[in-house]
Amino acid sequence: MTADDTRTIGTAAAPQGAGAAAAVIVSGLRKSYGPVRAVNDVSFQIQPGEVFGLLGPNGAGKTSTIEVLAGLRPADAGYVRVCGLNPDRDGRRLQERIGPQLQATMLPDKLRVEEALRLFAGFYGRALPVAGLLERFGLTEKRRTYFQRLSGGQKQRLALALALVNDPELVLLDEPTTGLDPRVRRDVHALIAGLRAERRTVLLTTHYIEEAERLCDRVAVMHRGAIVAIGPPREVVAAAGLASEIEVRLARPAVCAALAALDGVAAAHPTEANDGAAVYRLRAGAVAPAVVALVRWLDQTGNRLLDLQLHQPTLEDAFVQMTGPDGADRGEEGLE
Amino acid sequence: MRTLQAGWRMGVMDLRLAARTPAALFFTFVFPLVFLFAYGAIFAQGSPRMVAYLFGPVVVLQILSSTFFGLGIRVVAMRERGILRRYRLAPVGAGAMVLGSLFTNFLLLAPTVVLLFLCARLAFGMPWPGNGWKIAAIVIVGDFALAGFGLVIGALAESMQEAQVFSNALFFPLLFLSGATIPLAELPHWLQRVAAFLPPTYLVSGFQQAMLGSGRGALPPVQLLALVASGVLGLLAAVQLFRWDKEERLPARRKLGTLALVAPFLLTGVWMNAHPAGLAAWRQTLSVATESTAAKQPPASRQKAAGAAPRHAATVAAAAAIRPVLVSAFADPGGPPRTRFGAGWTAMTDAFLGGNSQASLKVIAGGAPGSRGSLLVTGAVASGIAQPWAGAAFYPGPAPWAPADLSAWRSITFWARGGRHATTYALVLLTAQRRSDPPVKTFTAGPRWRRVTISLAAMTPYRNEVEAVLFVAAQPGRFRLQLDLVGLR
Repeated sequence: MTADDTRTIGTAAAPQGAGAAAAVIVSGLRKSYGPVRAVNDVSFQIQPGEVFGLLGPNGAGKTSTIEVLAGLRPADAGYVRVCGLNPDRDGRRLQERIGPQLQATMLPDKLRVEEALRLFAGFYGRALPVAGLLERFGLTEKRRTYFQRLSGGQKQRLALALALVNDPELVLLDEPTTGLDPRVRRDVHALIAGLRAERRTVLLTTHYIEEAERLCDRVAVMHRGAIVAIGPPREVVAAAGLASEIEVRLARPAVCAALAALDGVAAAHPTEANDGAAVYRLRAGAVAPAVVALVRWLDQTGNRLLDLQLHQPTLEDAFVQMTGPDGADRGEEGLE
Repeated sequence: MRTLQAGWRMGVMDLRLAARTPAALFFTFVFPLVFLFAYGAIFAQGSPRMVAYLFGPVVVLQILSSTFFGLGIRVVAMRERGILRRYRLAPVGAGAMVLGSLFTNFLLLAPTVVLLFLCARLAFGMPWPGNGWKIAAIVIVGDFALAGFGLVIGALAESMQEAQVFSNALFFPLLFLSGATIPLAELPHWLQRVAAFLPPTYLVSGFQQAMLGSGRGALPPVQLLALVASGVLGLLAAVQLFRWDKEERLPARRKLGTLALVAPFLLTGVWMNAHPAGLAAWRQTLSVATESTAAKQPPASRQKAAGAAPRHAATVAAAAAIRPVLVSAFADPGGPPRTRFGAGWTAMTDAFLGGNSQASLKVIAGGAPGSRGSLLVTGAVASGIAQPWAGAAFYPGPAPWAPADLSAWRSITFWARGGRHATTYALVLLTAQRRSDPPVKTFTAGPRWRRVTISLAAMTPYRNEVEAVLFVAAQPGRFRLQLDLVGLR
């Protein structure tokens, strides 16, 4: 244990296999507010150039985690390194190297877009050219506009531009699209995808599953202060053990038991169709063998396939399964 | 260095924002001008010296409102709106934030003071300050000290409402008791003792002394030290207690710790109450501002002055009917003995009754404790008539020998100092009714200054027609009498 680890207790030592190259190392992180454990033994690593998503309902501990990483709050326990620095001790040096955007960014009403960028650029040891940032975030035309006159989307683009002003190694985005309308959200997604293309490391939190699925190389699902699943979005879905669903419409009714007995099909249920057609839902662990077996069986029995729809489990299904039905509306925002 | 630089950037940005906010511009530039013109027109009635006297209070008022309402409340507003949360993420510390708001405050105050000065000069013909550097120093130190208070209020308040309550609770007492609205010299004595504890009091009195060139120190070292100390303490506390997020709470213990801020002023207040010279200086400053020189004006203008004088005396008498008035402080060594009202001072002896005594008057440096000068009466009482005498006379009326109504005051007070040995002198009231046998009251004056109070009411029933007040020596031989801070109560 080195001298600067004195704050940490328990799993304070650097975790095994923690490459010095990792952009973020979190191990055994705990953070409580009074009797409330906001973050309870959280561990993960983010590799350089990776876009990592912290996914979870309000109150899951996402914001608390990101605030510890940004050096805004001290950790109660655990080992934390961001860009190789301890946020608790090297807060100032760390601030130079990260680009944060925490929830709604507020600036003085009468500050102009360009002035805001210049002001913040001046705070850092090194900074990207302001004109380039304006161009990149589509703010060139708005550069003389007061902050109070910007639309929600423009404010968010400015917030992202501010997060990039110091050419950061790691970009921290806390709920970058919350409260934006769908079109603007797509804009922001494109900008975040641009960060990935630049090989910047990005840590973002969100409670929009489709956002995490689309943007993140890996996600960690947080629930009640703990990580319940971690990995690439596909693997997280697979780990949830959810089956795909195949919905078939047949020319003639079939016996459910026979369908359920097919290779790769776990269960089969009839569904109600308003035109009285024979529609069945098959739960399949593996989709491909199940479809092959179904087609063969239809040939053998002289039945015909009229329609087939495939429902593969999404991150949302996995998320709902892992965080429970009450997960999405547990309002503990105040703890974050 | 980084902190200074970041603070400067914040300050420059704040300045821009202020320039875009009409309300900020109004309170920075128009509001103090309104006060300057109101004070100048109502209290000074256009008298340039009086405007110079009131200039300090106007500037101090602006310092108070800009620090309490500008600094203190603004930081709370930025915190409540979540603006500080964003700054926190950049490498700007609390130090830079606090310094930045201090820069802004000062950069807005400096042009305001210049603007006020130019307006006072152009509109009222205010004289150049006795000491411009002292004025600049007082503005800087005063703003710094009160900024400490404003910033601490901002750090302590949990909400805008709380900040408003704190600011108002301090602002108004400070405004009314510090001389920024009511002249310090005219506060009741016990309130003067209270005022000695308040930081803006030092600014007001120091400012006035520097403007009028009265008093030696303007800002005595003790007061200067207290102001600087509380500014430094306030700044440190504001940095220590700085909160970026309205969700953050401060423990009550840390809040109470900020009470240490008042320590410098408690000590200074106690010190000032133990050394009343400082309080005496307040009286003197006011008298310098209001003294007239009618008695010493050349004859050509004398007539004009005599015409104007009755109105002036009547106004002063009416205004002063219930309060003490300082007749003369002799604050202008080498110059004529000025008076606040009446026709002035003159040397007077028994010569016009056929005697041979002689007397002369001179305003010299040094006087009663805290006073800048005094009236030196020297001469010789020579035997020649039955009751020889010589000394100084003060004409309270609009012209020499014109009866004046002094019935509003019960007694006369003054400081006196004699030669090496204590000698008896006499105060003589010459009234229109009893010229041949005027009422006389003796007092002694020795090598030390002492304050003398003599009841006019007990001396004569004819206080409504006093022609002259004489301070005379009646023992044959040379005499030397110094008079200072002559007043009526």
